[in-house]
Amino acid sequence: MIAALLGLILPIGSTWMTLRALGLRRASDSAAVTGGVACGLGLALAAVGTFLTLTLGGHLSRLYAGLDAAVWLLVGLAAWRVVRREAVVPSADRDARPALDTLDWCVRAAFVAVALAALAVPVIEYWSSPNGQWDAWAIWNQKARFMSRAGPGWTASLAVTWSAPSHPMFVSLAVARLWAYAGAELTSVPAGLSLVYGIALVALVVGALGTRSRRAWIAGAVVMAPFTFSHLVAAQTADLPLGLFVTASLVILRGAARDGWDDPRTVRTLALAGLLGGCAALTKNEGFVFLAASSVVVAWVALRHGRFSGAVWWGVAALPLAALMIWFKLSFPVGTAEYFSESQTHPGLAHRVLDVDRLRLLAALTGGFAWRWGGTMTVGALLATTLAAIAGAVSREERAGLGMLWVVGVMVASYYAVWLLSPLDTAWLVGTTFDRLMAQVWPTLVILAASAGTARVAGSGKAEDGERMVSRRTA
Amino acid sequence: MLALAWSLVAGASAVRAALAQPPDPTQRLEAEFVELVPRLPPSGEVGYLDRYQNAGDDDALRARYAAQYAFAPRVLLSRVGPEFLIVAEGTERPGGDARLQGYFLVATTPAGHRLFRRFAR
Repeated sequence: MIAALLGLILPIGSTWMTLRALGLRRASDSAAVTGGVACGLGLALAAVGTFLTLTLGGHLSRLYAGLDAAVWLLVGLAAWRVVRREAVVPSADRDARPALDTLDWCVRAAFVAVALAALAVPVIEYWSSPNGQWDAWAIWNQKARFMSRAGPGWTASLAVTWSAPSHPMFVSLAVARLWAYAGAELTSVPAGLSLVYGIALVALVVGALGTRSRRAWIAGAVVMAPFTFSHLVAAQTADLPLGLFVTASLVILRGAARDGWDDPRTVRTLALAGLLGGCAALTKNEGFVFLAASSVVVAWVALRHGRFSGAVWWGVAALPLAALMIWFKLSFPVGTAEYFSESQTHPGLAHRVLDVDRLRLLAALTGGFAWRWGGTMTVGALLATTLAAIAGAVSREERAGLGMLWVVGVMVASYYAVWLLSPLDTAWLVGTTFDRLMAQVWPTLVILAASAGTARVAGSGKAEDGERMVSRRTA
Repeated sequence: MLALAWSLVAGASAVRAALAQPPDPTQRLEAEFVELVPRLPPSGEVGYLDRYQNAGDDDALRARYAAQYAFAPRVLLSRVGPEFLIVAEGTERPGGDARLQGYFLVATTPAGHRLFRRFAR
C-alpha cells in the first residue's frame, strides 16, 4: 500500500515541479489549480509510460515499478533544482490581503461539512462494492487485470466485446501501474485513484474561482454535493477523470484568455491546455469530441487576434496523446464502439434521425433525467446551473465563458447524437449513461454559473486570485 | 448562501442514498469463481455456458462478467467448444443439458459452479 502511495505521489509531485520549472505554472498562480492539473497530468503521463512498456513487450513487474519510480524521481529532482533557483518573495497585494471575516469562515466550514459528506459516500460504497460499480469491474479494472497479469498479452482483453475494447485506457493503465508498485491487485488502488480524481476536480473549481473568494468555496461545495458526483467517485470508472481533464484544460484556457492573448506567457499556457486536452482523448472516446470542440475555440480566438503561435502550440501539445490513441485504435482489433453497430447503414441512420416518435421519446427521457439529475434532493439543480451558466457566459464582457459554454454544448450535442443514432434500446442507453455523461461537464457548468457577475475585461489580470506572488529569477 | 444551504442538504441526502444502496454480489461471485482458477491454463480461451433461459438478464450477465473478471487474462467465450467450460450455478438446463455432451466434470465449488473439460478427440 505504501509503495502504491509512492507511485501515486511521485508523478504528481514531479509534474507539479516540472510545471513550475517550465514556467507553465508560477508561484503566483492558484496552488489549487496547479495541484488539480498536476494530479491529472502526472497520472496521465505515467500511464503513457505504462502503455509504452506494455506495447514494447514489457511486463508490469517490480522492476518496471522501480524504473518508473527512478524516472519520476529524476524528473522531479531536476525540476526542483530549477525551481529552487527562483527566489519567491511575497508581493504587496499578498501582504494587503483582507482578513477573513466570520462569514468567510462559515462558508469554509460548510464546505468542509459537504466535503465530509461527499467523502462518506465512496467510503460507504467501497465497503459494500470494493471492486467499484458495474463498469469498473466489467471494463476498466478488468483491463487493468489483463495488463497486470498478462503484460503485453493484455490485448487478449480486446476480444471481450462487451468490455468496451475501443475505449482509450488511461484509467486501466493508471490502476495497473499502481498495482505493479504494490505488487498486488489491491482494490484500494482504483478506489484511491478515483478519490484523487474527485479531489482534484473540486480543487480545480475552487482554484479557478479564486480561493480567497466566498463563491469559490460555495462552488466547490455545489460541485461535490450531488449524489451523482460522489457516487461517481465511488464508481472507479472513467467519467470523473475525463471531467477532470475537460475542466482542467478549460480552466487553463480561460486563464490564457484572462492574461490576454498578447501576453508572451499565453503560448506556454495554451500548450498546457492542449496537453490536458490530449489527456482527455487518452481517457475516453468523448475526449476526442472535447478536443475537436476546444480546437474550434482556440482557432477562433487565434483568428480574432491574428496571433497563431498559441494555437499552433495548443495543437502541438494536444496531438501526441490523441495520436497515440488513434494509432491504438487503428493498430489493434478494437472493433466499433459498443454503442454503434458495424452493420448500420446510411438509410438506417437517416430513419433514426427522422423518426418523430424516437425524437419525442429522447426528448422526454433526457428532460426527465435532466430534471432529476444529481439525486433526490437535487431536483432541477442541473437545469438551474445550466441556465445560470448560459446567462453568465452570455452577459459577461470576457469571451472565455462563451468558449467554455460552446465546448460544453458540443459535448452534450455529441451525447444526444449517440443516443439518437445508436441501435441500442434508447431508454436503456439514456438511463445508463445520462447521469455520468452530464457529470463530465458539471464542474465546468458550475464554474461558469459561479463566475457570473465577476466579469473582467480580458487582460485586466486576476485580482481575485489571492495567491499572487512575485517571483524573481536570481540565477 | 442558498446554494450553500442546498449543498449541505444535498450532501446529507447523498450519504443517505449511499447507505440505501443494495448489496453488491460481485465480490462474492468473483471469490466463488476464483476457486476454479488453479485448474485452468494460465491464458487462452475458456468456454462459458450461458444460462439455459433468460441469458440476458442482469443476474445472468453479472455472473458471466464476474467470471470474466475472476478468470482474466483468460478470455471467456459465451459458447461450448473450448477445451474447458465454466458452468455457473443455475445455468444448466434442469434434467440434463445437451450442450454438455462431450464434456466431463473436473471440479465443483461449494457455491455450485462447475468446471468441465472436453473429452479428448
